[in-house]
Amino acid sequence: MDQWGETMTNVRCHGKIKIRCISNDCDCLQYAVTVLNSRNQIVYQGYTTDAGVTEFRVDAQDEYEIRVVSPQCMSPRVACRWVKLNPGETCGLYFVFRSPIVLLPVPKSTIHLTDQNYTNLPITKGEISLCRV
Amino acid sequence: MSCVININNGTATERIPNGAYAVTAAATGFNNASILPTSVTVEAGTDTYAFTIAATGALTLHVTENGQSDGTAVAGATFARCDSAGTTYGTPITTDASGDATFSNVPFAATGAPLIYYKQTGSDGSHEFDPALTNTSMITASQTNQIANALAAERTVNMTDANYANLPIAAGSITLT
Repeated sequence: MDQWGETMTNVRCHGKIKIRCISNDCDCLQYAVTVLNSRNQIVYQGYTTDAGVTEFRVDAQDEYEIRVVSPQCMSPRVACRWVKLNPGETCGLYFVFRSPIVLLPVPKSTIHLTDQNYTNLPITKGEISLCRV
Repeated sequence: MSCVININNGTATERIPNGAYAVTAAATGFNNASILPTSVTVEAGTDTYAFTIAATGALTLHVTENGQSDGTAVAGATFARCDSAGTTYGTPITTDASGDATFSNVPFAATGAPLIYYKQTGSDGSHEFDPALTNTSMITASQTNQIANALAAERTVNMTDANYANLPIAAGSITLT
């Protein structure tokens, strides 16, 4: 796995590139897709559908860099893959994203322990154990 | 998952995740099985939870004029349970003709028994009493503490006419509150 959370592989593909972006819990997100050729020129730029799908044609045999930028809430923000392809052939690529796990701090609770027979008389020292059922 | 909450002077503050819990208690001097409630659901929006526990000891206060077990009993002396700050709790108790008044349901333990605070809030009107906050602890289920309420000293009270110096008022009464 690389720093983007994706496996970088040189996939030998040709002609048309189909991209599908998948997330773990968000089905309706658009992703920004940029494709550069080996001379670092942009040959495609656009967005996926709400379903995270796009496809485009490339005319020349080359090595292309595909950058996918996810919406702000997703991780990783950017994923890149490189593919070599020839005109007339199709390559399908999946990009997997995930929602960040947000751990909200549990709010503090106040616990009172008083005497059953002397209303509100605090118990000086003691322990209460809570066991999840 | 379990969570142990240490109570200090009746209160603790703890982060407890939402969920349903069974409750047990450990408080020296008390009947741990008496904890109520025995289950609790911690939920968002509720950050205060109250539990109660009971003890089974009996503390008898025996009030006499000299503070000895065989002294002259004083009836009508009143006492109240307190916390360490002197705040009173529960129903006050009053000594009977034998000079006895009993706090029921107080904690006791062979070791580490908690302090029981109380104070005298009154006597029968003819005996002195000490209103100071007092504490004791009990190592057995029942205990008797001896308390002295000395007979008040006899005082001479004169009432005379304000306009005729030293002319005694033949009959009347003075109330001291």
